[in-house]
Parts: sequence; C-alpha cells; structure tokens
Amino acid sequence: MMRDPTLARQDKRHDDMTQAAQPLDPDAPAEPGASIFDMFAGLDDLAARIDDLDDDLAGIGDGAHPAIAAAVLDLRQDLRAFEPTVTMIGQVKAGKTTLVNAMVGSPGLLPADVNPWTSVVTALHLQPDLRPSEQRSAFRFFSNEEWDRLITRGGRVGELANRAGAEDELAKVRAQLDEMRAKSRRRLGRKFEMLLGQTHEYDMMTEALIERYVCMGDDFWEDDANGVDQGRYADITRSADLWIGKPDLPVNLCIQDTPGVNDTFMIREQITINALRGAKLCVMVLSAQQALSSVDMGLIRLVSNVRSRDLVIFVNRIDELADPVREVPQIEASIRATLRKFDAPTEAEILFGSGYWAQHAIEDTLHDLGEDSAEALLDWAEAQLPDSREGLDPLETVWHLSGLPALGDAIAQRIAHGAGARLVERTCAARDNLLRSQEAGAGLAIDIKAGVPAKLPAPQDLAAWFREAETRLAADLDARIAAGHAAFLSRVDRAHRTFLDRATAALVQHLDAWGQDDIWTYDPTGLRMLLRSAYQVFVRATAEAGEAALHAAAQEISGLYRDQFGMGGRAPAILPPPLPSADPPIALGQTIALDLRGTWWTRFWRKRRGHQALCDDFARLIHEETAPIVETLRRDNAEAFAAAVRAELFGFLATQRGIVTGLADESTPPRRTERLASEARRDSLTEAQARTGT
Amino acid sequence: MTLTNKSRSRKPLVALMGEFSAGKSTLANLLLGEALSPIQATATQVPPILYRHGEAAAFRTRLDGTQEPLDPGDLRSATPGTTKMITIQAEADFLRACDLVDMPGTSDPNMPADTWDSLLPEVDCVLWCTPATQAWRQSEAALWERVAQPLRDRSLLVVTRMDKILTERDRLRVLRRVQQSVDGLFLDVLPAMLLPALKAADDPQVLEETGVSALIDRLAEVIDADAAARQQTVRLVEAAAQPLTRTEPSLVQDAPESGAGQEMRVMPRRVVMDGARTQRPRHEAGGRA
Ligand SMILES: Nc1nc2c(ncn2[C@@H]2O[C@H](COP(=O)(O)OP(=O)(O)OP(=O)(O)O)[C@@H](O)[C@H]2O)c(=O)[nH]1
Ligand SMILES: Nc1nc2c(ncn2[C@@H]2O[C@H](COP(=O)(O)OP(=O)(O)OP(=O)(O)O)[C@@H](O)[C@H]2O)c(=O)[nH]1
Ligand SMILES: [Mg+2]
Ligand SMILES: [Mg+2]
Repeated sequence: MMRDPTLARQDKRHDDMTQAAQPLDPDAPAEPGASIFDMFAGLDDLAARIDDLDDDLAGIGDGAHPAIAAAVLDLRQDLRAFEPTVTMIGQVKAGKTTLVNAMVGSPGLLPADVNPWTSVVTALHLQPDLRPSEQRSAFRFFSNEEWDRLITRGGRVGELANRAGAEDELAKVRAQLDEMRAKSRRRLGRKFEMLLGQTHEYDMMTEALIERYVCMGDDFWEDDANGVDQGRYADITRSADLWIGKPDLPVNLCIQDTPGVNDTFMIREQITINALRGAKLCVMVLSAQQALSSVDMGLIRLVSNVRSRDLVIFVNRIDELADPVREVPQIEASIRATLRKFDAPTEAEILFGSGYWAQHAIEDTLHDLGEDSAEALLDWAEAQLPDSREGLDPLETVWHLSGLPALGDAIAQRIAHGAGARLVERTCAARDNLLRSQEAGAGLAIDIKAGVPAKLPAPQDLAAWFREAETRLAADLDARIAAGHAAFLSRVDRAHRTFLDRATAALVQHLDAWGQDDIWTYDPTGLRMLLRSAYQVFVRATAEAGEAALHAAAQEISGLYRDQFGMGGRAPAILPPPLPSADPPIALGQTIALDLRGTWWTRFWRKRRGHQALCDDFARLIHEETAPIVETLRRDNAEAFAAAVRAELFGFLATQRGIVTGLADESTPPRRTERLASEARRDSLTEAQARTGT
Repeated sequence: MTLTNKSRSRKPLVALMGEFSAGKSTLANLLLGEALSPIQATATQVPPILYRHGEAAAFRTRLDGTQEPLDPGDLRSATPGTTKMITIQAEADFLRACDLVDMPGTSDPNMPADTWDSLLPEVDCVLWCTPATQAWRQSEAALWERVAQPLRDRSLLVVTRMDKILTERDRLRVLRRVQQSVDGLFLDVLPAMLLPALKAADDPQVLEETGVSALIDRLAEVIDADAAARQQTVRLVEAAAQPLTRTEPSLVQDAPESGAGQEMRVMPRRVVMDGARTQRPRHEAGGRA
C-alpha cells in the first residue's frame, strides 16, 4: 500500500488505492512512523542529536542578547539545511531508478524502463517537514559551454574499463553530441537556442512533468501509451531537482539518480562521470546476472579514491537468478575475489536484493510478481528468514527480503559517521562558544547594572581590532599555506621525475634485453602513490596551519574580553571551530596511457622507431598524461582545501565579531543592536568571500 | 591459435560469443541436446570449448600446442592459464552440419581480453549472445566493431533471457531498440528464452514459443549458405564470401545432395519435427503463451 499520500496523489494509477489513506487536511504532513517501508530509521539517532542541539540552541537564543540570537538563528538554519547526499551509480539497466523509487516509497515516480532510459542526473530532495503544497521541481538546461565541457571534462570509463576502442571514444561521443544537438533543434524548433542555459521551475512535481525532462523517450516506437512529451527536453536537460515531502524521514536526504554507464549512447556516461566529482557517498548498483564486469571495475576505480567505506555495492535483480540461495554466495565470493585481485576497496559493503520485490511490496501487488520471481522469492525467504519472523506481515517480509532496509541501514550508518558526525561536532563547538559568550555578556550586564564602571570598547575600536586581527591572522595563514603549496608542487615535480627516471630506466633495460618488438608495459601505481602522498602532506600542513590560526583567533578573542572588556579572569575561553575536511583526490583515479594495456599502448609502441625516439616520446607522454591530473589535484583539491580552511577562519571571526560588537553596544536598543550585529556579520562575510574568491 | 587439422573438420565453424553470463553455454547445450558446457551464474572462466562430431571423447590443447585426454566431467581442471582450448567430441546431430565453439565470456576483468583474436579468422558464423535485460551495451558494440564486415554479415545477434522481460510490449520494444542500434552489424537479431527452452527438454511447442526453433532455422540457413559458398570457392577460385540477404530460406529446404551439403540437416535431436518447420514463429515475437 502506498503510504505517502503526498506522492500518491500525483500518481494516477494509485489514486483509488490511496484515497482512504489521505488525511483530512490535504496539506498536513502525514504522521511520521506510519510506514513499514521506512528504511532510514538508522538516522534516528542522528536526528535526535540534531534535535537536541536545536533545542539547546533555541534555549540559548530565547531572550538572548540580539547578537547571540542572530548567531543562534544562523546555526539553527545550518541544522535545518543539513542534507547528506547519496549517489546511485552503475551500468545501464542495473535498476538504479527502480531502487531510487523504492527508497522514496513511490514506484513510478521516476521513469524506469526496459531500454536505456535515465538521461539526466536527478536529485530527489527528501524533506520531512515539506508540506505537499510546497513540493516543487526545477529542471536546468545545458548552456552551450557546458555541453562542450561535458566532453572535455568528462570521464574516461571506457579506458579505465579497458573497453575495446576506448581510445577513439571521445570522437564518437562528440559525434553523438552533435547529432543530439541537431535532434533537439529539430524537435524544439526556434525555442531551442533560447532554452539553453535556462531553468524551468514548477510549484509541483508530477510524473508527467518529470517524464518530459529526465528520460530518453522512444524514437523508434509509435504508441498511444507514451505521451508525445516523453523525453521532450531530455537531451538538453542538465540536471533535475525535485523537492519531496517525506514525513517518516528522520533528517533531510538527497538521493541522486544518474544515467547508466556503458550504454552505446555514451553521452549518458559522460554526464554521470561529471556528476561523480562532487559525490561523497555512492551506491554502486550491479545486476546479479552479471555482477562486476570490467566496466563495473572501471567505475569502481573511478570512485575508489572516495574513501572506500563510503562505497556500498548493491547487487540488484537477485529475483532473476535461477537459484538465488545457491548463487548469491557464489556471486559474493566472485565479487570479493575480483576486488581483492585488483586492489579495489575490499571493505566496501556488499548487499543483495531486488528493486522489483521492493516495488511490488510497496504497491501491494505481490500476486503480480510472475512465476519465476515469486518462486525465487519463496526460496530466498526460506533461506533468509529466521523462524522468529514467521507470521509477519507478508508485505513487510518481502520488503525485508528486497534488501532495501539493509541498504537504508548501510547508507544511514555512513551518514551518521560521516557528514552527520561532522555537523554535530561543528555545531557543538559553536554552541559552547555561544554559551560562553552569553555568560560573558550576562556578566557584563550585571556589572553595568551594579554600577561597576564597565569599560566597553567603542564600536569603531572593535571594528579596527577585528580588522587588524583578521589581516594579521590571514596573512600568517596564507604564508604558511603558500609554503605548503610550494612544497606540494616541488614534491609533485619530484614524484614525476622519480617515476619518469625509474620507468625510463626500465624501458631502456627492456629495449636492451628484448628489443623493440616485444611490447613493454609499466605499472603507474607508483606515480599515483607519490602524488597521493604529496597531496596528503599538503593537507596535513594546511590543516596544521589552519588549526593554529583558528586557535590563535579564539585565544585573541578571549583576550579581547579579558582586556578590552576588562573582564580579567572571568573572560570566556572561546573555542576554535573544527576544521573542514579535505576532499578525496578523485582525479588520481583518472586513467593515464600507462594504464592501458590494450590497443592504445600497442599503437604508441608500434609507431615509434628507435630507442631514443621511444624514450623521448615516453617522457613527453608521461608529462602530457599526468599534467591534467596534477592540475586537477592542485586546483580542485589542494587549493579548494586551502580556501575552505581560510573561509573557516573568516567565518569564525565574522561570527565572533558580530557577537562581540553586539555585546559592546549595550546602550543601543535591541532592534538596532540586532541590525548592527547582523550588518557587521554580513560585512565580514562579504569581505571573507571577496578574499577567498567564492 | 590456429586450429590444426587434427582438431578441426572441414565443416563451417560456428562461434558462441558475448559477455560473460550472456547464455552462450546454455545455448550450446541446447543446440547439442546435452549438458556438455558448464553453466553458472558467475563468469565460468574456462578456455574455448570446441565441439565436433564423433565418438564421445575430450582432450585439451596445452599452451605449447601439445594435447592430452581430458575427463569430460572435469573440464574445469583445464584452466585458461594452462590450456589453449578444450575439444569435445559428441554424437550430437547438430555437429553433423558444423563445428561449434563456446567461447569464454568477454568483459570479465579476470580474463585476458584477447582470447578470441586468434580464433576469429577461422570462424564462419558468430552467434553473439546479449541478455535482454541489459542488451547491447558499449562494451559489446566496441568489440563487435572490430570484427570484419564479411563475418558480421553472416552472424546473428541472439537476445537471450527474453523470458525475463515480462510483457509482450516490452519484449518488442527491447527488440526494436536493439535492432535499431545494431542496424547493419548483424545479419539478423533473434530473441530467445534459453532457460525455459532447456527446461522443457523435448517439447516442440516450447521450442517454438521460446524462439529457439526460429533461431535454429536461421542458423541453418546461414550454415547452408556458407557451405554452398565453400563449394563454389572450390570451383570458382575468384568467388568471395557474399553477404547473405535476409530472404533465402531455399538453401535450407533444398539442401544440395552432395559434398558438404549432404550433412546439412542442422537439427538438434530434439528439434527435428515432421514437416513442422514451415510454421515458424515470427522472429520478433518470441512470445510466451
Ligand atoms: N526482475 C527485476 N527487474 C528489475 C529489478 N530492478 C529493476 N528492474 C527492471 O529493470 C528495468 C530497468 O530498471 P531501471 O530502474 O530503469 O534501471 P536503471 O539502472 O535506472 O537504467 P538506466 O537509467 O537506463 O541506466 C525496469 O524494467 C525495471 O522494472 C529487479 O530487482 N528485478
Ligand atoms: N532465464 C534465463 N536464464 C538464462 C538464459 N540464458 C542463460 N541463462 C542463465 O544465465 C546464466 C549464465 O548462463 P551461461 O550459459 O553459463 O552463460 P555464458 O555466456 O556461457 O557465460 P560464461 O561462460 O561465463 O561466459 C545461467 O544461470 C543460465 O541459467 C535465458 O534465456 N533465460
Ligand atoms: Mg535509470
Ligand atoms: Mg559459458
């Protein structure tokens, strides 16, 4: 039974079924906890901690000094905005979309099909507090530049997977893209140029609407059942965002569906690889029928620089196995053996299930499973269910067997220990600071009331103090980061040279021993390791510098209370906030020519005549191949991390400045103080942004 | 690897190819009417298995080219690391018309990518198996592109696991889409439900409904045409392999009476039916009642 009336109302086919379940006020979020199809109960603890923190903050903000109340608002806003993201990836037709729909509890929400279908990275923003009337959707179109970049910055899964013909794939993708553009132009007429770069926004979210943007549509099939609009804008849509009310969910959650890789229409693959750059937590969906092919390995290699515990492998479609009870353990053993053999993340969790079973459980259509799937289900149930579970609701049992609850647990656990833990840590530190500031403020107020001659610094003095502190601390931090950066670059350079020397020496040795007819290969793992360690050294150094800067800032602010406010020993001990974490070096997963044992390398080899020519070209090749990786590592990782650390310092100072300025301005009426404080905060924020260039 | 005269007869060579777990061995066993090729849910990882007509026997060809007898019940002892090829002799009717090689699956990260490069020049017809649920992906298309056009023109794309696509409409849509994307790359695209066909053993009606009869008929046409072309090659030195057109069933019905042609009734035991061959199901449908 469809439990989420907000979605059911959009779903024509389920209208009758769900009518009775609809609450009287159609716009009231449904009561939480009603559904057996909850799968994120693992986030309950995190939600409780966030709620506690929110209560703490509300308590602090209640009747607080306006400066503190403003900071509280910001923090509570951060808590509310918390939205961890999980990205579903996998080969075409593995069942990603079906799984996403099941996770949302709405089969049929996103279009799934037997043919290659999803064509757009689709983000489902699930929010417990969103009212049905607030559900909305936005579809962004590519701009011309983005289209071009799609190719130049796209992934090379083909090469990672050692797919035949991978070396010529880019040219093919380009041709497909041109054809696609021409098709869109034909289909959309003059409107086409105008649409590029735009966004379509709607105050609703229906299946018919979604279908226009995110799925391929048939161009070989004339049929009344398919709307003419299906896939109308799919080719030019860059991303889709849907905001969905999900009252049972403990915290916000974003689930990202992506186009499958290894489709012959390779643009879908490019789109997905592009989207993976920002992905922190991935579910890799495999088909039980062919678990872990070389293309899957290519995809795993691509994301393997994501911390491996943030990769979950879900082997879908076990209902299609002839004998799941016997075959699932075989499949698991074979996956593990392959991961081990290829140095892939072996501790990745491997789960088994069926989006199809989940879908039928939600729809309450178990009678429709079909003979084979039903038989597989019964066998699987017998093997999987302890006797104690007998007599359970059949839908709940099937839901359990579908593997979706286990998937939910795996995701929840990773969020709770990752993004969730970081949020809690940050907010706790900020809350404690607020408490301390508040206490200081209260002390000052008592002093003033008691007629103790309070020595409040003038606003302009405070502003000057903060400007000075900020300039000095930032300069110091920048200098240390710059030094670290220089060291990073020279380390990268050295890594290059060392690798090149070693590889060339091996090449010469090979040429001496075997001549040029025997093709030589050299494993580039060493280079990756050197680059990775250079990055790690940089991250450590930058983190140390950041920590020192934040620590100094906190201490100086304490000193400010002590000296300028004349609080002496009663001055609050302000705590530095935790550091942001550095992004994993995804770029290192990119293929370079040396990874390619196949035709590409052979061709390179055969084209060259003479040892010296080979050695020279080899050196140039290594340089050309690794330069973009190093560049990405420098720009997207090293510099981005440095910028984040810098922003943390500025943000911290800005918040403190707002509070301190507010407290010092005791004489002004509250409303004005609030404005002042928030203005001060905004000023420093703008300044901070200007500096970090964000 | 070149197939020596010792292991090869003069018959056309049909190769079962495709990604791992696509159903090649299932199809082999169906054609041979006997469970000879190992079948499993994960990649099988055995060397190519060549089937030829003769008194039941098996041997393996080591990497160095030497041969030794092999226990047919223990094919797995011959791993790709030590064995170039397994040869199995069987009395299957199918093998009167052609030799059959069941190739290791492609896209298995654990197997070298080029096992079939050396075998391909000897192959007269490929049955490329692709599972309907994830049919015709780039990793297949890219490999197939490297096959020479004349061989492509004599090869069939078998869309297996059709029984896993549940509605007639979806079966047709998958088939249409695949046909569209392989246009010109295969002689024909044929849907098949191999496991149901295998389970139903000798039921001719099931063979019809699962698309297996149509597949065998189409294969017979190709082999006959190939054999005829060979005969011509003997007579006319300049004759080159001609791409077949789609409308030449006559070769099957009026098989030549002499030479290679006389063995040309390409029918596994269980498929031989009295005159029932005229009522072929339509290729595209392959529907289950
Ligand atoms: N039997 C079975 N069918 C499934 C399962 N999961 C999905 N399907 C079906 O398989 C087909 C493909 O599912 P999708 O969810 O569209 O697959 P996808 O991975 O999103 O495909 P692309 O978006 O094209 O990459 C649909 O017809 C689904 O109904 C499963 O666990 N078992
Ligand atoms: N339902 C169904 N299952 C099939 C069909 N064809 C193959 N299978 C199943 O798919 C799995 C793999 O089949 P195999 O015949 O071993 O595949 P293969 O192509 O020989 O695989 P490798 O030898 O590993 O390359 C087995 O479990 C078969 O039962 C089919 O048409 N329908
Ligand atoms: Mg999809
Ligand atoms: Mg096999």
